[in-house]
Amino acid sequence: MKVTPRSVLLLALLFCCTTLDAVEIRYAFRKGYTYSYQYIQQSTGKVQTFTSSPSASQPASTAEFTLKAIDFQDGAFIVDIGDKNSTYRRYLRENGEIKGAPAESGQTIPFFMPLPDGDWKVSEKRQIKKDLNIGGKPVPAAWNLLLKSVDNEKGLAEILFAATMKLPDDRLRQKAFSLKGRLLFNLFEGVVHQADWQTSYKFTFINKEFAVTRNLWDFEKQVSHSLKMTGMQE
Amino acid sequence: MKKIFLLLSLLCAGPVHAQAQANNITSPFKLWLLNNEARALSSLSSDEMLISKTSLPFSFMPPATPAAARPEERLWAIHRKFYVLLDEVQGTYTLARQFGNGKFSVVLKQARPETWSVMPLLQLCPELVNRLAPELRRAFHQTLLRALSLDPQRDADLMARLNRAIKKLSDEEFRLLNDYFASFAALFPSDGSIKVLRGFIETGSRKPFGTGIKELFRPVGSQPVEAQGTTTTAAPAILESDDPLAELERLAQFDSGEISTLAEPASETESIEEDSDAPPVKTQPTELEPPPPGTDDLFKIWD
Repeated sequence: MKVTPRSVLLLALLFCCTTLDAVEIRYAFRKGYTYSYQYIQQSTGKVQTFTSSPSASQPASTAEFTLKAIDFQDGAFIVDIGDKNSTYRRYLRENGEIKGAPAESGQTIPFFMPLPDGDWKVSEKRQIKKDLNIGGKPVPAAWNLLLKSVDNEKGLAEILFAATMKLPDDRLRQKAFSLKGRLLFNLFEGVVHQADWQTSYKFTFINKEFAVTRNLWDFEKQVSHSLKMTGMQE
Repeated sequence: MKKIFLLLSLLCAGPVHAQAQANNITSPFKLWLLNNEARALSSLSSDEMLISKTSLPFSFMPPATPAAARPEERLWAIHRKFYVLLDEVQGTYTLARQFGNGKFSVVLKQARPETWSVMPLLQLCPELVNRLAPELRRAFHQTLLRALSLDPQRDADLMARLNRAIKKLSDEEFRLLNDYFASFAALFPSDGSIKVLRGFIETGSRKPFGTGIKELFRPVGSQPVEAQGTTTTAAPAILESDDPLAELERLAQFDSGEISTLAEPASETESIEEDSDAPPVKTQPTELEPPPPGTDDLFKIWD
């Protein structure tokens, strides 16, 4: 009989631990703080055409940029993003969506990855869909997210993410695009600590005349991206 | 009046256009490749624009990112080499068609236009004739070459010109061009131009052709003395029974099962084919006409 209360207590503790695995992930930039990031990109590509395959590659290119949190108004962070050469002002919601981008008026704002609303349990998948309106035609796109793990001691959440987008294609132009990556989110500071992702694009160009079909060119491109926070200061 | 002028213009433009079509063996392939490039470029550009909308997941990143690798640029660079080669092939082929049989040089030398320009001096200052005639002949010859856009160093040996152009491509690039030729031929089997083009590049790079053009670069007075009076030096190509151009065009017409654009006008090819059956000495004036017997050449042009 003495075992029962202990078992109940243990079960209660276990329950508490499992509930701790569900977290709400939100950006929480501190007003007046400057966050420094390093972004590295490198890419390779090739074209397969019959027996020839010309290729090209861009070596790793490193760019530094800063994010200055100016204020938080009407549910959005007012931030200045830029480097030595240019600055963009954006209004960011807590889930990462853009509320406004005055410096980019007239441009189509990219479909950035939003963080899911509410508590997010470990191993839970979330999907955020959106139709990109390009040239008057809707292009379905979606972000798929999976909370892989939460390290409560370090305050880091590991998120796997992938983007899907249906590029316009037909029988003679077959295309595929994929984006996959991994993100470490600093739960204590409410910022992205590190992220690595890779985009892959394939385009097959075919010629067809009556019953004759010839595969002319296969374009393939891979771009590797790496983002890391290098500093945070007031 | 306007109607008559229009009719005359159409009548004149027709044969000119037909002649241009007849000599054109590279345009269909070139347009096909250019058109494919344009379609691929359009797709690549629109896809790149779409991808740029999702390739950066985070809204706190600046929009400007480093340029990604563009392998297609390498392919377009190779294609640009192809276009240069095709232009060179087209130029060589056109020259071979126009002047390669040597007829034009024979006609030119028979006409001897410089003799007429000094005719008035025969009575007034006959001593000037011998000095003026060679100069006028040389000037006329140089002007003619310029008017025809002919360069002796470039065009005297058409096979060498073709080989120089081909050698600008690496082996891999040339294989790719051949693969493109094969694809084009498979996609458009009724197009005779590709057969002529492939055959011309293949045969023309190994076998001399259009050798009659050499005579055009040699002024009348510069001919070797021993060569004068013979029947072969003035227009050697005419005597060639196996003209590679005519063979190629016959092949193209036969394979396509229809009269291709290359056979439309009554061009030199047909006359060459007809001439090849008959004895060339009888039908074609292959010898430069000497002065009438019993009279000296007043201008000594042949010396």
